[in-house]
Amino acid sequence: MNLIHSRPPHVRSHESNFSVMGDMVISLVPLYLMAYFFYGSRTLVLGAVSVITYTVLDFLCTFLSSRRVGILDLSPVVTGLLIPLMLPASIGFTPVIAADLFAIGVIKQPFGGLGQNIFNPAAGGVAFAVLTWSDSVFRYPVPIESLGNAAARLVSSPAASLRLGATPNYPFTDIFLGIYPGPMGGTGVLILLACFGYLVIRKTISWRPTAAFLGTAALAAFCFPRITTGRFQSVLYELTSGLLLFGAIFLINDPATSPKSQTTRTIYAAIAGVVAMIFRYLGAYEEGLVFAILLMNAFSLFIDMRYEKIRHRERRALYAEQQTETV
Amino acid sequence: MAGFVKLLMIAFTAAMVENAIFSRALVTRKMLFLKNREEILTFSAVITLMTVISGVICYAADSLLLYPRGVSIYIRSALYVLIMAAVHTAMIVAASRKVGEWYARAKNVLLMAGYNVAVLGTILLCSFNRYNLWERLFYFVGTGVGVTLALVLLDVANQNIAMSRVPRIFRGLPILLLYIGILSLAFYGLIGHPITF
Amino acid sequence: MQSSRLKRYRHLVGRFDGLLTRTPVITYGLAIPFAVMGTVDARAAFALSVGMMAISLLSTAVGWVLKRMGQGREVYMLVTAVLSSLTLAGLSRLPLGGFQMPVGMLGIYFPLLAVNTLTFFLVTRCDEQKSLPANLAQAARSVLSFAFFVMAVSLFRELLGKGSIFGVKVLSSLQISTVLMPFFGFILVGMLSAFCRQVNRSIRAWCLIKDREEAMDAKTEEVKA
Repeated sequence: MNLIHSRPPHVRSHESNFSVMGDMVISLVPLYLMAYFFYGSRTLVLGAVSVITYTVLDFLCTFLSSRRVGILDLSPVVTGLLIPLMLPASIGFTPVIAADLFAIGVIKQPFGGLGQNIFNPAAGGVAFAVLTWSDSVFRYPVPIESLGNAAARLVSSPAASLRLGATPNYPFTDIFLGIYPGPMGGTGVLILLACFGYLVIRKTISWRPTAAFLGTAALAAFCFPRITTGRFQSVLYELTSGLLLFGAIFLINDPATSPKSQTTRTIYAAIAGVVAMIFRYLGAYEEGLVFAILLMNAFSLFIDMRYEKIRHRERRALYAEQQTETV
Repeated sequence: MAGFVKLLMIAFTAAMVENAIFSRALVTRKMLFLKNREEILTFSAVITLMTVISGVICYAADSLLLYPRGVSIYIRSALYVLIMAAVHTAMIVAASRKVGEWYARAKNVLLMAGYNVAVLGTILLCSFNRYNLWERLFYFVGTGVGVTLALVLLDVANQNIAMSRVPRIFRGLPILLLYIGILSLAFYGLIGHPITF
Repeated sequence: MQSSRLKRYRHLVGRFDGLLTRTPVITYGLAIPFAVMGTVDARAAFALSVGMMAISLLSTAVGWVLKRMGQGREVYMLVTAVLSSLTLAGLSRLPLGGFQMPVGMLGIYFPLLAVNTLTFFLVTRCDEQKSLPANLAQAARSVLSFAFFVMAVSLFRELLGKGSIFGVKVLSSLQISTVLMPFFGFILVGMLSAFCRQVNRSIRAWCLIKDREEAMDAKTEEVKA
């Protein structure tokens, strides 16, 4: 009998790491195309530099720790693509490389590498870049205007206006199409929703955690608006500014760092939505999503274990009931 | 009402924003590797009690004796340690007489929770900032809540790390320090500026 | 049977027990607040080291006496804490020119040395069957190891974070403020701990490989002969 020892979840489907990560890479390509359209070829160069740095470092660390280097492992490519998308197009190469180094050297490899990391490497790397280069990370080029010269005129994003209690001055169509300053991959609502739809149809991710995250964030924005022009406007601007939508799709659904079952992942996402809004409202930076994700990652296993205990108690109660019925 | 909100903000700052363990590193080895829920509860309860009782007595000493004489913080600190030692000894004597069985189990934890950097550090911070009695009480309770939260997070951390295939050189203390560093990074998103000490 | 090169290495590092092996910060995780928060400036680290040495030696001596008198842990921890805080109060008043400023820079972390776990550990580990000088030597080795560690880390952090060494500006262009934050201290101490473990393992593995090669060569020579 051939017994295979592996960590849960025990997947019995056509899915593999390659297919899941392949779908993630495909879903990130339109975001890079959108960024290229708005800000020029610099965005593609940033993405390429990040992917090459992250992949090389990951393979090197895996090789040095005497583990097998998986050539078909696309997870470094995914994280390498994610990091620049959370930063402005005008960011220098140093913050991106530093974020990659931090993500590999502190967040991923010391915990055991692929699938063993507790914290999201992309969120950790960007959090480090936010703390070190807090001036450049929250200054964005104006879309289309900065084609060819990404650092031409840097402005603040709608998230900064919300923080000051001012209503952002962008029409709904611009927000839907992504023609407003913000992180490279965080602005185009239409494209982000299309990428989300692709991942859901391919069954790479489920719609429930994203919906739960956005639901609780919307509820918080509705109940505690930071602007005076109405609660629905507050919900609209809060959800479409910064990295909230991007994080809801790509960071919340990370298979290694989020809880394992559908129900627990939904609960985790709902709590993460509230924590993300707390960091936005009370935190020091206009976008605290990456810090909220890191904090919630610490609780993934806790939520799984608590839920299992409750289910176990329910099953025992049901079993006891069935026993008394047969007797 | 505004005063009460200010006091609540002080408590929130002590618990979350300037957390004793994640933002000020007031942590000992014993706190990193507590074994079970009973030890965590004992530790946090003793730290909170010690902080509140010693802190109130230290405030009395500050306002009646030390502030009027302009005594320096280092000599004030010596007096605080004396007060802490007296309170801790009284606690141990009371525990060994009233709840002897529990005391025999919890002796180790009691000792390390009593002479603890978190307790003295909190009292010193309030003394530095010259908080009044109510501000200090809310700060102490906030710190107690923050330390409890941090110890629970550390217990969760140990469970998380046990489920990962951590490389041999990182097992034990190094990976836990990295974990605390990452959580400290997350908490820094709330503070955003270097905290004074 | 232990190979000779490995034995020699173990014997060599064993002579520096507390200094090179079984170090307080890296191996046991003692005095973490001071290693993480007190290492943002080299002068502050120096003040910490001086304070730690003074209170550890004094506490070890007093603890040794109390243990010989048969006193329990509660008593010598109480006496250690009180004596240490009085010593630190005295040290803070030292008229030495450059000492008061780093003590002030440390804020609450200098008086906090009174209840640091390294001193408690040294007093607890103090063996009343051995002589006082032997115990003091062991305590001194541990505190020297702590001092080396905090000085090295603080020089690194001050250079990268403020571009200075001992307050003297050497690099005006380099000032990475993240290096001075608490989270960086935790990560740095954790990484250094792992690095030292790796160095130790590599040296032991090298000794083992070399000894086995020599043993194989010796056997081949025997067979040939």
